[in-house]
Amino acid sequence: MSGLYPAAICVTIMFLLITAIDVMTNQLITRKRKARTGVACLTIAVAALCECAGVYLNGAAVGLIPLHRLAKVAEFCFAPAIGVAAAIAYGDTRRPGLAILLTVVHAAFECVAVPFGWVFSVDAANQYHRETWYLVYVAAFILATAYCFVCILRNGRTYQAKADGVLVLNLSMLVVGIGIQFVYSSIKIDYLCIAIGNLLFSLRACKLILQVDAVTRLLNRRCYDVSISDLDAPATLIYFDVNRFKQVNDTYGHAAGDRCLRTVASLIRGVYRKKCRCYRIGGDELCVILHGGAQQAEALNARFAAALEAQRAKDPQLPGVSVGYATLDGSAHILKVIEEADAMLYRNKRMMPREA
Amino acid sequence: MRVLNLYTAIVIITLFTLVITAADVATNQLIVKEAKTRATFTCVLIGLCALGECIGELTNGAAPRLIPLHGAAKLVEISLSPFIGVAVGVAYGDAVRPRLAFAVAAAHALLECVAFSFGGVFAIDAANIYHRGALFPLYVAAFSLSAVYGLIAVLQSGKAYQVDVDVVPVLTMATLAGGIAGLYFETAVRIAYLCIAVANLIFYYSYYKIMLRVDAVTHLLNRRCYDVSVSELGTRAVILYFDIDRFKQVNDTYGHTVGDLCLRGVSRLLRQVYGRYGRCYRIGGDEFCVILSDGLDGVEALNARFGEAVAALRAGDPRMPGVSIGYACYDAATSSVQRVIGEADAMLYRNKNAAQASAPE
Repeated sequence: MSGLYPAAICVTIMFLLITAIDVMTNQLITRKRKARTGVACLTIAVAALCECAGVYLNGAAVGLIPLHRLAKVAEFCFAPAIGVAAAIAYGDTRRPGLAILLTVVHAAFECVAVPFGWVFSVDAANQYHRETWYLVYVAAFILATAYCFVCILRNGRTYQAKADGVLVLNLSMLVVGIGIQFVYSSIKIDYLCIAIGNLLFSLRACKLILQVDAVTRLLNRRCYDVSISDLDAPATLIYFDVNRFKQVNDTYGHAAGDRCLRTVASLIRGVYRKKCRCYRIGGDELCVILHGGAQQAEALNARFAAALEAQRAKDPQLPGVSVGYATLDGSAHILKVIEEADAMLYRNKRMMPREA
Repeated sequence: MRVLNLYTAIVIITLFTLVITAADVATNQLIVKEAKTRATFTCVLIGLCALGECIGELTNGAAPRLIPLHGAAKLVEISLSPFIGVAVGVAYGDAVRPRLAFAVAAAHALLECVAFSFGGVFAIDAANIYHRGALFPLYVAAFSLSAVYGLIAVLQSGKAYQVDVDVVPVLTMATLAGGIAGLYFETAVRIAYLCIAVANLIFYYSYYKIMLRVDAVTHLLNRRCYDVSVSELGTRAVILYFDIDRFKQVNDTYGHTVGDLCLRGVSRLLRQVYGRYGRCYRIGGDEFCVILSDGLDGVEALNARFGEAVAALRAGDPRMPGVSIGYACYDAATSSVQRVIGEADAMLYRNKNAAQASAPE
């Protein structure tokens, strides 16, 4: 064994430490998430260290056989827990209790299997061998990883993180790294990949939080500013203004105001999400940027108006929403286009029937 | 040597990490195009060096007809790698004299090409085996210098944006130093570019988080940070509010450019006077705030210094307006945060009215 493997393990542990410290010192992450990230990092570190111990104990003095067995069984118990821990730390979990239960059941199976040598065996010369039921471990591991990805994808959808090549690349990296090790068991690179994947997930979770407005979960003002400064023609800017929002706030209180914003935001996302990005750019101002022309915008606006009417029929507290839009076609300056859309919004606002 | 081994697997992961970073940069909605270009350039640079090293390793001792490929790969790696630190500094930090740094790295690259002809830094013998030359420490020096330059630039930008001493970049650099030292003393431990790729990823995210904390015009901490700080106000903290007098008039009379100039000028003075003792925020169009953590002692003196600095600024440029101040000290035992803010606000408006009454229109 060359010095490269222990170096890779040291680097793996350092990456985990950096991830943990980065999260612990991040003011945007709640204490609960911090604890969960800590658990994920710790699980990976334990599994990686057990693997490392297994490598050094393999073929060592016969007296060390029990220790060798212990290290391997600990690794096999912890490795599938990584996917579940990462899903809970960075994703929107569905039935986390069941996932944890399955991990525990698998760990119990691994412990029971040791004396029978079902999953692996350590022979009299202290040499490690994979056995028939090794595939159970592999299946548990793959299942946990898949669960983790599904949860993280769901989390991304909540935050409008679409077209996510980054996640696909991250998954490919894990598949390649773990695949290499599965085929060539001497190339032990899996925990290094997992540590980097874990770091990427943790950074991604932080990024998603930073991109959205806390109340509506639409993209925030800063995203809007950057999009506007980089906008390519043709694009249509659609602005929304909640009518007499101040009155809703003053009459029914801020909680009702927030609820009303959330309702409008979710209607907007329902209608425009597939083709556009949706932003909250001010107290009661929302915006949609559509990469397309006015015709497409008009069709979507009509659908939004219908959805809003349906919602207002159910919920009479919900105020109306004025809409204005303008298309950037490359000939006019972006500020002119915004002004144009604004002017239309205010014309529409004045034309709104007086609401009781 | 088998082509797929632990080392080449690590190279594959390194390249993956770089591609993922670049893809993340490309899809990041919160940074501008210029910053994206710089970050992508850094990723490509690291990728080329890692590939150069990998090809060099695989061709080492292979058929002699591969000698030119071996030489070219090593040359690419050795001439490009000292650019990495500079590129990182420029992409994610407050780089001092970036042009000079690039010129030095370019001069080094040129030197490598010249040295290649007589085997000064490294040589490949007739059996296609790589050897370090007498000038190899020169390369190590260039590389280390560049890495230090990058770290200083990253830490510097943290200071410019009022980040507390940040352990993450330091820890990242420690990992990197470990990886590079491993390579220097034990040539089989080739893990440096993996460390560099991950460090690049972490620096990119730190940069990005810093960008989110500051106001784009004045580079002071933004409203979001202010809200967090106020919610965690410690006892004995002093909260000071600043309001530019008749800012709207400045904007309307001289235009937004002068308005921005005025905001930047006031921010600079705030950092100069109060920066050492507390944090400075821009909390609204023309409203600023400073939070000092430790008691009222010396606040009057600081305010007097700030008043003088504003007066000097106004003497230099008559378009600059005055600034009104109000402050109050928080004591958890006797008061609430809301009350302290109200107190400071009331004082600010008293001062503002006094200033307006005495100022000639």
